[in-house]
Amino acid sequence: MIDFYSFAPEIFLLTLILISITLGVLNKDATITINTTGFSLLIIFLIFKGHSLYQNSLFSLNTINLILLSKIILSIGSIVFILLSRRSLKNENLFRYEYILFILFAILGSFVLISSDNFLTAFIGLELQSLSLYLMAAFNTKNLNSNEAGIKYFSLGALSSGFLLFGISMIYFDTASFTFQNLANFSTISEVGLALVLIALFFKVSAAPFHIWTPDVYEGSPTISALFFASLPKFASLIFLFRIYHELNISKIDSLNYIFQLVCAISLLVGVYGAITQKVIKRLLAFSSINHIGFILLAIMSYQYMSEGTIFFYLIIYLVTIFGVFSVILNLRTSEGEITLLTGLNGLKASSRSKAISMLVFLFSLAGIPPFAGFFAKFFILSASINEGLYLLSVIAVISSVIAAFYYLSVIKNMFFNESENELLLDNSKLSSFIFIFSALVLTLFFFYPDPLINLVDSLFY
Amino acid sequence: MSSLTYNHFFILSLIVFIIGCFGLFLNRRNMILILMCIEIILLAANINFVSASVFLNDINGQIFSIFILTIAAAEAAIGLAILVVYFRNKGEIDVTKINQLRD
Repeated sequence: MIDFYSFAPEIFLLTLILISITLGVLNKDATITINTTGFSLLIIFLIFKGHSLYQNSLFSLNTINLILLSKIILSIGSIVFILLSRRSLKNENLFRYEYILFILFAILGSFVLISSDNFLTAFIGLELQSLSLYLMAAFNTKNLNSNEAGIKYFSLGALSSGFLLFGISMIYFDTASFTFQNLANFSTISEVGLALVLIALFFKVSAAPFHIWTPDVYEGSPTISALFFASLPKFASLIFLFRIYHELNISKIDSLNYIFQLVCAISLLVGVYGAITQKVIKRLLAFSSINHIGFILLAIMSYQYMSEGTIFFYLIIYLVTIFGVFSVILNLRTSEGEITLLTGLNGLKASSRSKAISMLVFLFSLAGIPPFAGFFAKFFILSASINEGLYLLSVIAVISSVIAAFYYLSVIKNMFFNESENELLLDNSKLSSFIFIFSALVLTLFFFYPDPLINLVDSLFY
Repeated sequence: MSSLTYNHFFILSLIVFIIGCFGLFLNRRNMILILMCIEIILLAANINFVSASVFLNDINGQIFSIFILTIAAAEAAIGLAILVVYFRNKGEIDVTKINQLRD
């Protein structure tokens, strides 16, 4: 007997997609209203009735909390993102209702991925997610850069899903099962298979050395799509990586654990090394996200000494910051179009003080400079990883964030002390101003009132 | 004469997988070849699933391979769609010329 109730959120999303497909033909703006209302209902449902969804499942209580909280965060993120994308796509003359559908499909894929308990559903979720992402990268069909980003993302992404499938097939041959609970006592063949699966997941979260697509795709695709790649699907893949790491006990398998540590160290270093010479804003943000992935992998490895709350805390702070940074960038234009180069930020302080100060907060928070929330996120992870005995990785993490501070500070220098070359046209949409001011306030006020956020994260777990 | 065992199928699928990967990396000309190599890699996984399913006497592997078939079709369709759009703007699909985005 299949328990349909336990995937009510997914069925709800699917209904939302079907309604949007039909309605979008008639009225583009109505899809936005329908979807924001739908996601709000979904959030209310998950908060109040979420636990009843999985009462017949085999998940442990911690996993259920993890799944529910991630789904709530994904829904909140998609409301913000849908509203933001409407404005930004209209500015670029790209607004078509298909974009909203891609967002919905990607979010549906993320939902399936997060709550999967076997490799079959995980594979389908991951594919649903990445197929929509390829299209979002190539969404600006008139622009050659956007097309090229789509091609690069597609060819490397399809290769990585091939790796994922071949890995799963090796695991299946060895253990005759896809379900995570049945997988134990790995032989060499399963270990190789699991290594292939991990490589595919590292690719999806853009951890180095599987990051080659990231800077190109971020630069070429429309800025709003780059925001999406950096935030919600990556969040979902990281949660799935976290679940695989702990449900399959990868920390007990030496060879795989070694791969994990190596990838973590390389991500931390590549993230800063690549960013130093960058002149394009989106490439800089791509490398900065690779560096942050390194931190999150470190958090996943030192899970024993912290709660899921700590990993979530880092992820939430990261999401808030990245949404803030991108909503500032989306608001800045010159007469030729969007600003792409870092020198385009020159003299931002003179033209808009609130944007410059919010950017300052975001960059300080990304660099991990104390009064801002980014510092505490990094601090919790480092203290846990030192307790875990990962000394070398912790040292690398600290060194990498020192070097990272250099390029974040150089952006701040551009904004506050350089003279502007082109006049910036400020596009003051109320929504994105609200988003970046809200994000900056969250990151700053955390130091003075840490309780609300910490209690919120903790109360969902215990 | 020895009979076929699972290992033969596994080695076959491994060879097909490696052919696909090498085709992807050594190919210096055409974007369509990349799409074909991706299909070959997915085919390798399918061979492995179906043969493992027969030898393990377990139906799940075959179900998985049906899912792979549908998703591979969707993936090829999307890949070709992006390629067509690219061709309209650029006028060629030479792999070595896809280099506008770089440091």
